[in-house]
Amino acid sequence: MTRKIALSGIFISMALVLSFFEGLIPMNIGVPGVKLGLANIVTLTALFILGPVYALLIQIGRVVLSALLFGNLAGLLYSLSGGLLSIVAMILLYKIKRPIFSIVAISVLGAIFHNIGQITAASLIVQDLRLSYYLPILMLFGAAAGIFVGFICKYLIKGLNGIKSIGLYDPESISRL
Amino acid sequence: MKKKRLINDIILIAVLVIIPVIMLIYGNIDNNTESDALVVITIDGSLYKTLPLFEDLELTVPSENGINVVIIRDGSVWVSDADCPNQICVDHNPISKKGEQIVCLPHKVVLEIISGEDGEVDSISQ
Repeated sequence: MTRKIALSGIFISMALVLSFFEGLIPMNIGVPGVKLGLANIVTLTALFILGPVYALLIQIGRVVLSALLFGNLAGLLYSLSGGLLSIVAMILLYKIKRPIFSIVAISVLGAIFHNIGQITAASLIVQDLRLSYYLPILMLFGAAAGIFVGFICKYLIKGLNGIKSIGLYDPESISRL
Repeated sequence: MKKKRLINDIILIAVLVIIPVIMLIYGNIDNNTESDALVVITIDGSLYKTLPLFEDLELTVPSENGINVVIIRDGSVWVSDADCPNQICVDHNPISKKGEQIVCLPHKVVLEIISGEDGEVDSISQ
């Protein structure tokens, strides 16, 4: 328990550093909202190592803190809806008893649901469904970023699993890596 | 088992790539008939009127040198009549797509179709 709380703190701080680092990478391709989603490395790793509850809490903590530190509060609603939808989708996929998808596919779906959540929130708040015009482009970039993040997680979790005091939340999930 | 999962992964990712591609293609076909498209009329470079493309209308555009009768119907715009010497604007095919223009040079009148979202969408998602 204490070990998990301590690890959660470390995970949140790592996610914040990744969010900050990501902000330094210029992503000018003409579409707002395109990003690598490096922070998702932490969320997905937490899901496999600490389990769904901690992963959800880490995601919420990460989104709220990074909005307070690097963004503005107006952006909080967008990133929170994206972040929550993303982690819920990933948890559901993770929870499927017979694991039909690997961690890479979970990551891709998480990225795409992040985009869907953000666009939905933006459309609702601005009352303008034309924003969904961005969705296909965001989905394509999300799929690419999701594959990238998924493979990073795969090898990261394999490595972490070798450390005695960490280990997997669900030993069965090793087969998904 | 592992191989089957790899196939599942590939199928899932392929579907998730194909869906937005279809949406993009469909969006581009549909792009020019957005229901919020606007017709912008300028006289000598200054804005005269902005009208919705999908509201049928007939109006006379008065400029210094004469008049142009503009008709907006079923998402198309054309000039039905003008008292200019060359009648190029009257002979012009109806326009209905974003970015298309009809220009009456003698009267310095320009009709252009723009998308309603031009300049309205900010970088909201971060």
